[in-house]
Amino acid sequence: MFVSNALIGLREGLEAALVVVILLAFLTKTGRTWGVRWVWAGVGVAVALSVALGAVLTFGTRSLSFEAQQIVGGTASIVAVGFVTAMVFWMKSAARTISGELKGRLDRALDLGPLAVALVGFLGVGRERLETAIFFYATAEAAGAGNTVPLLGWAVGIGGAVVLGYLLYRGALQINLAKFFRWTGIGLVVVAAGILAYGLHDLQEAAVLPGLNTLAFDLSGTINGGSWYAALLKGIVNFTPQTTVLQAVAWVLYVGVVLFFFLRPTRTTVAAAPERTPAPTETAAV
Amino acid sequence: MRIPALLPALAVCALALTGCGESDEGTVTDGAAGADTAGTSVTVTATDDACELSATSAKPGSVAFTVTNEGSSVTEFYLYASDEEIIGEVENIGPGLTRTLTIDDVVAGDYVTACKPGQSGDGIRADFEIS
Repeated sequence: MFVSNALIGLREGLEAALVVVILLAFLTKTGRTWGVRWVWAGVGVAVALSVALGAVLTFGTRSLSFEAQQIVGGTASIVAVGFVTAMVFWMKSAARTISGELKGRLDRALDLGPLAVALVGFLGVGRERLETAIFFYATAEAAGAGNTVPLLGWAVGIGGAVVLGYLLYRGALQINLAKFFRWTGIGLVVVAAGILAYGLHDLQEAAVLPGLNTLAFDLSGTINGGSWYAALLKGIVNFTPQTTVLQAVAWVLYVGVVLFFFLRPTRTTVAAAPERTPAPTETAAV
Repeated sequence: MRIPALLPALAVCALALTGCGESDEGTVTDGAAGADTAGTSVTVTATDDACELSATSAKPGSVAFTVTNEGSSVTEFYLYASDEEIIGEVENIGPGLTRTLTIDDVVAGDYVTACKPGQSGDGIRADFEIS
């Protein structure tokens, strides 16, 4: 009872934390500390909104139809993918300008600005947190009825996700800037592809998109959905044992196209760069 | 300082969005008051190998399934139309938890309920009638 509720907390906590952690590390690492509070502002609004809406739906007479919940969550996920994709290329351009460009030019690479940064924080955390909030109220109700185990398990799971997120943040600050840009970029692309697949599945469940039962693969026989590694896979890259054809195709296309453009060497103003195959981020080392 | 004003605005947007969703195709629940009084409540007791419903039929309109997980693995509960279309679903019902799936405007017809212990497979199914 403790472990399975903890795994739900861990999974949902990681889902919420990853994008935010990478964004915070990026801002801190490139000296854009002005952006940090905007990220937290977005996260704060997302959490407050989820908690409030969760309370309304749990304790009020109103309910959100299943379809509406899936459409809201699915659409928010797909919008989040758009912002994360923009962020990846923003980071790429930042990596380029950081290598000895004028300070003014560097600051102009911040085109995304405070609102965009706050929005990434908001969407990254908020897109599916209504579900988390309602789950929290369910554990609280069980605790109110005398069974505190689910609530404790959930809290420990969320705490675990926070610890993992913090360790990732610390680790990201340690590695050198060139590696940081390369790996967080690739990591974000994979995470965003997972969010895209997740959003599509929500829309398939709501019957907005077809093909819910047309599976690309079904590993539910070999992968135990209740295990810790399934929770980690789901929380980090949104891997689900049952994946529809639409999800699989969208995932492959997204990763293929975005990674291609992300890894494609770009012209830098630093001389002698063209001959070096490892390309743009290589020149960004501080 | 312009931005702080925008964030609450964004919050209101999201509230409005779900507000729209709330009355989604719902003629019965549009008046906030009447929603639950007119509906049917069904309790579901889910374990790792059983899925017991307090009723196998309900009246058309709002139906609330209150699902309690007495098993050891996380479960989810579905209401399907006869063609496998999902009418409603509540997932992440952890062991020891009770969660409610409320569906507005269920029309008369044959449906199928399913508990899915472990959140995989076809689940433990039973026929459910709205008449």
